[in-house]
Amino acid sequence: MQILIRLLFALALLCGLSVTAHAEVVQLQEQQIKAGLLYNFLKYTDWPAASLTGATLNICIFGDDPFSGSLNPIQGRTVNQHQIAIRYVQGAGEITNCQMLFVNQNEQSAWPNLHRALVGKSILTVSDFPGFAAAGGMIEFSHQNDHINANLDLDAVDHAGLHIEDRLLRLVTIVHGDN
Amino acid sequence: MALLSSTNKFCFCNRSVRAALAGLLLTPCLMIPVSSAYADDTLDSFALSPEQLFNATVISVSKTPEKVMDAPAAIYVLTDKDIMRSGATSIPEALRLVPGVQVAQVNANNWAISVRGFASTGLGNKLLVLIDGREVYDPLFSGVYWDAQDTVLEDVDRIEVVRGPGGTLWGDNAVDGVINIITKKAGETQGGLTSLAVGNHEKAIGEARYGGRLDDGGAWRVYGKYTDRGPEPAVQGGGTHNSATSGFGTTDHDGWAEGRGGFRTDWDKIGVNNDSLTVQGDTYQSSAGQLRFYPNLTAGTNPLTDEYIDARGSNLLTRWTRNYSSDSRLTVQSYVDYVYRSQEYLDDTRTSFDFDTQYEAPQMAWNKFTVGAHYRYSEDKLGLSPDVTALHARAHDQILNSFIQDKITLDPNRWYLTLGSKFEDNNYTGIEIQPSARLQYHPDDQQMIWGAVSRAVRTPSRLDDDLTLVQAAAKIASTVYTVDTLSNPNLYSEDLVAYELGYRRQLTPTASVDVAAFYNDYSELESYTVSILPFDHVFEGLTPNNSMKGESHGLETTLDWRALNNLRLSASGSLLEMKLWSPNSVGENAENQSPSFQGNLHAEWDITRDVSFDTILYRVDHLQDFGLPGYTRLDMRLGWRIADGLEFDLVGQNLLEPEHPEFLSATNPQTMAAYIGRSVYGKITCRF
Repeated sequence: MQILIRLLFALALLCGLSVTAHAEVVQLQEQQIKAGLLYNFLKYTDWPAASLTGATLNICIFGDDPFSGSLNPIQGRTVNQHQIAIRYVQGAGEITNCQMLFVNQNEQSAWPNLHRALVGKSILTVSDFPGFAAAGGMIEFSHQNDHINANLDLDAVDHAGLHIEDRLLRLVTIVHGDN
Repeated sequence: MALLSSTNKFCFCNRSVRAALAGLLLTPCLMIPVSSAYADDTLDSFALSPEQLFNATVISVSKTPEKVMDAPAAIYVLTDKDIMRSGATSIPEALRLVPGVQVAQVNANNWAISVRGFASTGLGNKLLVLIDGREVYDPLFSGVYWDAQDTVLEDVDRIEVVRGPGGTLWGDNAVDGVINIITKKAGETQGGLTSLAVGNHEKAIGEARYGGRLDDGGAWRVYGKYTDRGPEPAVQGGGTHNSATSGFGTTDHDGWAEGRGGFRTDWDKIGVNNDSLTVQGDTYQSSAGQLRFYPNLTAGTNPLTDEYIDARGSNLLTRWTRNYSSDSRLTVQSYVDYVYRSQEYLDDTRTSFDFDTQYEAPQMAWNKFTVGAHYRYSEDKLGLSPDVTALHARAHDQILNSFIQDKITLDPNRWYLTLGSKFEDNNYTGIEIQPSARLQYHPDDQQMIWGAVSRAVRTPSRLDDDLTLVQAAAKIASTVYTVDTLSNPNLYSEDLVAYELGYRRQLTPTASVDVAAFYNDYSELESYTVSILPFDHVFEGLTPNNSMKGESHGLETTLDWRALNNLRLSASGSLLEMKLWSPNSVGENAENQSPSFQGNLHAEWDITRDVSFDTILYRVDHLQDFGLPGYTRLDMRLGWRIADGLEFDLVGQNLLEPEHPEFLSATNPQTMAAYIGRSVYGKITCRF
């Protein structure tokens, strides 16, 4: 028992000395990763000048906010001199001023309607419901193994007049959905 | 006939030991400031590059998959955090928290764990237990030897417990439930961890784990663990254990020592199809002890014997997954498992080969199919003695089965019907069909109502089929007579048809409730024919048959409430009532071996950022068959994060009384169960 207690102390001491570790592998909550990626999508996407009329770059959330607060700090950050703002939208009629539209996965059934309303608009669409990129959506998050992946339908992006920089394209899986 | 008073007549299942493989451990934290993983809530994800974000690992806290909450079954997930906060030092102890799981400790190394009834010492034979997809159900006696199951608890990602039949999706023997222990992927256990726990009962539990990355993107970890637990304070029926001896390879009554080591390697996102590959393996040795009355065939007496149990095993598993899309994948898994177990009058060496494949088809308009096939080959060799004889010392068992399941969308987001069946061929009973139908209704986002009807079977064990055990001996006029449990190769499977109804609701964003009710209709349960043979040396023979039937019903409920940001409260309770009938009443006493009520209250309080406090109060009702009173148990844990990567835990278990019995009685003819004592231990954990 004595020996064990001494061992315990020795262990504690050694630990105390060695906790100067530095991190390489980042571990985050799923929603934090997605929030961070949304910010990067804004950063590495070019919108046609005509669609950037307002002062702010608007991320619109369709349906409930699935980010449990982790997206909120994005407000106030700027991308290419545009301040980022979050808007919550409920219907296809409210999306006109959006630069990015995130569709809550519970709203999958509303997507076909929404998709029709998006025709001719330069809005980057993102969701995490399975099959989003195959159903005309642009970026589909998926949670595979312990990573977040993204499928990107480049045709849909092109049709919307958007341009995504190569740095991002190298990191995602390019798919071809049916438009 | 007194011998029939308990169902656990064949108690090779009990055990204990002092085990080890000590060398691996107690290598304190290496002082190399190496790259390691960390999870930090304050980390600003907007400051990270897209490369870092796509490479980031998703931490498992929120991984209680919503999928599980949508499952039309009585399912409960114990997260890694729950396990750590419970203060449990073994898998069986962690299971106490799961609503509806009956955990009764028999002695320091043996637990009777069951779901919805049929507790029997150490071997809940209607419960399937899997660790990372590997069945740890022992086919000789049909049940789980908990003294041989362990791992570094910090590396356990979650324990999923399904109450009720899991026969369709999982294997047979998942009659009353499935316990699925899932460890973290190697990518989630990067860096080092060492811990040491020392207390009055836990003499020493030392763990060491280290994880790193491979150049090709894979991740690995290796671990070692050594455990030395002292005996419980007393044996039921008087007598005190005195622990003169200790340590690995000796018997200290019901003391328990074990050593184990293992590894896990994961490769994710291989190639264009996002394949993933897991290779993992473990090896262990455990030494435990128990007190049993063993028949002496020359003297005709049944002296109380200190029995030494030596359990060893090694396994190697590979699992490969091809992801066709986010909802479609093919998984192929294969493993070899070697187990050896030696007790006073019997030892068994078993090697199993298991192959399993499952294909999840993409969602179609109305249907979502999952199909699978499973093959298992297992061979064993028994070391017999005059007390335990068998017709075949060696046996080969084979099981081949397949299943198909279809989740039918009746009304999107509202009504779903899941139909499935498992078709099996085994060498004991031939073809078994285990179908199930589950209907679920989501009135809105916050609620779900489900109902199910399913059939599940337990196939006879090799013991039932082939072994003869001497239960007791007596000398009458210089001749030794015995009471034996005989075998019956013509047994068929025990059968259950279960009817279940459940309701889940998110009451507020911070509170949820889960209720499940069941009615189980059992038939062809195992009972025994008793033959009195006064002229044979076998005076009384017990032959297993399928003559018992029974029914049980019950209710299980859980309430979970995050009352404050730093305070979570949960309460759970379960009711069980069971009735069994057999022509000669033999075996009916199992109906009174599970508590008719049990519940727990759990408070998790984060006092400051670095100090956390947990209290769990358990109440378990009396066990009528054993004449044991109910008990109330209080566990507490105080956790202090001294610095980044350095934690100290102080845990007290069973604080309300110095000792209490949880299972079996002093009059049990076979195994002497122990009084379970109070335990206090300190634990220091270091991550680097």
